Amino acid sequence: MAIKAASESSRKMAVPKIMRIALRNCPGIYILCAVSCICVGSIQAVNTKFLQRFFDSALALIQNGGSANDAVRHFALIALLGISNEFVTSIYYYMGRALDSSAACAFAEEFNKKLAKAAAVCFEDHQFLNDLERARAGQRAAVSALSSLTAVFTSNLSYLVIMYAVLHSIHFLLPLAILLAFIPVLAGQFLHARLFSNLEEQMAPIRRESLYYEKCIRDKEFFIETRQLNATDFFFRKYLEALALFNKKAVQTEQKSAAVNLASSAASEICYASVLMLLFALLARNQISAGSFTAVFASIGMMFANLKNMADSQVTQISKNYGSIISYFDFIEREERTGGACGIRPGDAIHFSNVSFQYPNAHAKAVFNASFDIAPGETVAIVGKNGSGKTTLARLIMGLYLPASGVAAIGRQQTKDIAQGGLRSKWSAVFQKYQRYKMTLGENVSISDPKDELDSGQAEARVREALQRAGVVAGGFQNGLGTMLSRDFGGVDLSGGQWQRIAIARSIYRPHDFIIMDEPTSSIDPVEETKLYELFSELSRNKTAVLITHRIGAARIADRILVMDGGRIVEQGTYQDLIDRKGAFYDLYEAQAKWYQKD
Amino acid sequence: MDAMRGEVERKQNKIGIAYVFKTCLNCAFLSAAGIILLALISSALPIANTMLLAQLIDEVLRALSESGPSYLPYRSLLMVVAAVFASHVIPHISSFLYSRLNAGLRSGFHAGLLEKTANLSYEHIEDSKALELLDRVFDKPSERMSSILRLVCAIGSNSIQLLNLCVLLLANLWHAAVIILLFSIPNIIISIRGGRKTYDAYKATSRDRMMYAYYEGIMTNRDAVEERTAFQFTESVNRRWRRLYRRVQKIDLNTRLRWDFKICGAGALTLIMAYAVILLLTGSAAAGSLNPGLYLSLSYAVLSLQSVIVWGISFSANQLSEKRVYLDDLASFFQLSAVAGGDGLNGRIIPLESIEFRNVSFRYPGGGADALRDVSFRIEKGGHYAFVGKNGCGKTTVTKLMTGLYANYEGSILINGVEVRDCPAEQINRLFSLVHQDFAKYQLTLFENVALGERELAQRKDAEARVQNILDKAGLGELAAEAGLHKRLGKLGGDGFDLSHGQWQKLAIARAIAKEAACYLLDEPASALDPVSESEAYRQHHELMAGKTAIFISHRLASTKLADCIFVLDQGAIIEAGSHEELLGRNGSYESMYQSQRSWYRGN
Repeated sequence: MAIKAASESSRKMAVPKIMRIALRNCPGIYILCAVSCICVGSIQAVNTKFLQRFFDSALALIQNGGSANDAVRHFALIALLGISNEFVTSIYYYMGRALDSSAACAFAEEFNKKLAKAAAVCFEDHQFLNDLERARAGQRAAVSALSSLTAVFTSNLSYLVIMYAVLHSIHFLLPLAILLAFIPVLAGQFLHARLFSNLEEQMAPIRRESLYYEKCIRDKEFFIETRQLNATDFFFRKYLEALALFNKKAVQTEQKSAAVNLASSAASEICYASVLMLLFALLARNQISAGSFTAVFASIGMMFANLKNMADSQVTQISKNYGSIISYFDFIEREERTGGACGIRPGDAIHFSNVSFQYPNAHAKAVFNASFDIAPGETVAIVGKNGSGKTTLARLIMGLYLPASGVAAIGRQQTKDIAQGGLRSKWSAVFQKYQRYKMTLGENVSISDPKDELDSGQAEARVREALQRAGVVAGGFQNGLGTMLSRDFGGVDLSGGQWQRIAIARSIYRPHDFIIMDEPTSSIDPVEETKLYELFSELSRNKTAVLITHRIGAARIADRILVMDGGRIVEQGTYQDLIDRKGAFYDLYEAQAKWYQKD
Repeated sequence: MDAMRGEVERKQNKIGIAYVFKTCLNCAFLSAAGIILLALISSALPIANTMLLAQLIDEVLRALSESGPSYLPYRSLLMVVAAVFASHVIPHISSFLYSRLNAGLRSGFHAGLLEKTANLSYEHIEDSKALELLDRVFDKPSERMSSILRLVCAIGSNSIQLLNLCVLLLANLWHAAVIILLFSIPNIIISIRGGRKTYDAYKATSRDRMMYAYYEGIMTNRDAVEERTAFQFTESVNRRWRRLYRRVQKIDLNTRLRWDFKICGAGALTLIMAYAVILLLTGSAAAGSLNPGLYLSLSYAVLSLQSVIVWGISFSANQLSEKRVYLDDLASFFQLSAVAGGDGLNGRIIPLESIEFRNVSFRYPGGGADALRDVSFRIEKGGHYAFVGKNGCGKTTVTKLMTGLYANYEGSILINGVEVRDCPAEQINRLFSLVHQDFAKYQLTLFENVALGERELAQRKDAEARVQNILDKAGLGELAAEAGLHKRLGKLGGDGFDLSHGQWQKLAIARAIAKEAACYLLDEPASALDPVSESEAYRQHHELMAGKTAIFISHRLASTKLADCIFVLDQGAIIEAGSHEELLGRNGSYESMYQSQRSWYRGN
């Protein structure tokens, strides 16, 4: 309900919101841009008047020897206006560009900050991911809408106002032309908005699909396998099918759009012809001069073109993208996870009772009725098959996810009562899918506790210590901590094992009382792996630690083991207890151990 | 369309505008021809307009002075309106034609590029420069081609307008025509140079832009969500992002500023030229050698010449010189080598007899140490082999060479005695069935995923039962029964469901067994499985491969225990070879690795 309400409000308010963000973030550029816009519009309109005067005096000079002085004076004015127009236009383009890039920066920052607050579980929801994609498109659309809006409200408006005055000064009936120029344009816009409002939403999935098949053929991730399966043809066919559908829709749309445009052009032409008739009639009655006729004739052509241009490029741009702009603001205004400050103390125990959790759109619960306690300083291992809910449980423990039912608490505080970010202040983690940041070695470590900038000596010493404890020799890198860990940015590539150690150093660097270690499933060779467990075992000393492991033997380092199956905790106990019980844990153990027993 | 794809295949050193025209005409002949025709028509319109307007004004002036206000030349007025109407309608028609052209380019040109990419030599896919090139080439290729066509048409059409006007002036006032031509040239040159400079600045900041795009990614994408929320790094990364963004913005704006004002100066110069021409016209009209109608309409045309030169020609030329760079990328893309197909196996599917490496050494293109050093071994039909060793020892490299991904090895790699680099890729692909270490996660249905392995499978009547059977063997039977064979996997479609990493790997195995091949290559096929599935998988894999030639690659020694022969690799060389029992007796590298893993299971 609350989200619905937010969408209603942004539907109405998107335009002022766009302007507000621009005014807040880059007021100087915005105002300069608006001023240069006004100048451009005004000069174009005033030009009509000067042109009329010049043509009149020139005709007078040609036909009946009028004053050459007059003609020259009017000519000089035109020249002056023309050249200043040239400069103002240049400034306008420059300012427009500056505004575009500054506004893009501002919109992106709002977006980034919002995502910092988005609950982790949202990223498992395809509806959220769709909204995210649309908001991303809306972010770009909002930037171009800003410059269009600025132009409409300044340049076009001042042009029309002055044009009105100029036309009125020539003959009181002439301002009628503005009205006549406007009507067909407005009608065309109205039709466009009616016909194409949901277009982007319809086209996006088809485009995404054809892009995906393209990726299956040419992306590094798929390239070799697709080829070795001789499956290129298969994907190519799928690609062409999706493309044909996309093309059909795109051409159909354009066809409709062209029809609308032609209709509004025809209407425009009728209006234009009527204005010319009016001019003609005035000329015939000698109410305006031949010079005025030429000047107004030329200017009105320009005015029709200007208004049309405004409608086609600017208003259409906004109305076409209005939907995605609204998606952007809906996203920015999404509800956030609420909660108070974190009151967890180092000595707090973790208490779970009947905790259940279900992923969005999933057909079954990922964790079901989990109850257990973890005492301060204890190391608990979670083992179980794939998909048994180990990682989900770990995410619930550290409060990345909130339980759907049951109580998940640390000390006296339930995780759901703590604001995003608050809870994690005491936690550190090594994730299964740890990030390989395309940053320097030092930044790769210090990113887990980004409060200190790396150049402070204290932070650097801490980074070195974390690396050392994780078994990474910083001296072995070309530029020490400053070594860029990415080929893309002119740095070096690391092996999987080295990356794993850096991820561990990252978790050490973050000050913590609680730590989660989710073991990587692959890419670590046996020798490395043994060392890794020793590291994990050392990390868990004196901390409350949760270790998720696939190597059952490695669970020995834990004080207690939770065995999961199908989202439930099926066994709990010490290593020896569980072996002796000959239950689920023993089966898991045997499955692995048998390979190492002498036949 | 097929002709077009053939066109794309051709290698070219330098690609020019002619290529764009040819491509557009090939992909959508009617639309492209229509666009060119409309550009020609619209180039003649302004001069027609000027003439009609001159006639109209003259007739009006005559009517006013001779027969009074009763007669007015409505016919001339209608002609003027018709000309204006034409100039308004043409853009709409051509924008429609552009959308058809884009559609044609997408299915002809873009698809052709994709086909070419599918045949690229494998080395390019490992080369980051080539990958960047691919990304640039595939960044809206159709729209780029049509926008180049659009710019060329604009420049052509506006140039014709300029020339037309000059011709008209030449007939009346020849020195005015000379002035116009003289002044428009520097304007155009400055614009083109400005376009190049701004592109250079763009290129110079490309690394910074890549970097801030990357920062944007880790602040917003799904991959980084765990660490982002756990470590709360957005504020700090955002600070860095902003710093980079501002730096790029500053360079970009400074370059623009410099060139904008140069271009503005050139524009002012053009204007002054126009004013000089108008003064000349006024002079000759006052002298009576130019009638008033032509004088007024010519003056107006000269005044609007400014926009023809500045916007129509210079600005378009500026844009074109920016966009043309795409054609250079395209040319380098066409230069990339494709897989060369020899006919070493005579195009027949043959049973595998042996695979032999003889003193093979190999180094990846673009650097580093030797990935393989003097490796020799022989794989016989029907045997089960294993390659073991630490990360980076060269295990995967062996499979890459065996399957013909690289041709630049030293020594010989013989399949049935035929050098592998002489075998056509398609033949080799038929011969092997692989499970890759980084297996692909195709967001298709379960059925399609399995049938990808053996396409004939999908055509059979009992296809579903067979696929189900294969999924059962791979340990995905339950999932298939629960979710159905024809539901889309992944998050691409709205109703799709996602698999876990381990399930994806099982699916990759299912795909590999579906394929009827002479030799199965399994690279870490159980790395993502849980302990139970993994242990089951070791035996199961060997059972599935019974009677077939199979090569297992793993650092998990338990998995290789059942192989007939185990090769131990270290730093690109084979250091030990033999069966599990033989190797354990040797107290070598294999033994110590085995003991290290075993230590976790001792003591019970």
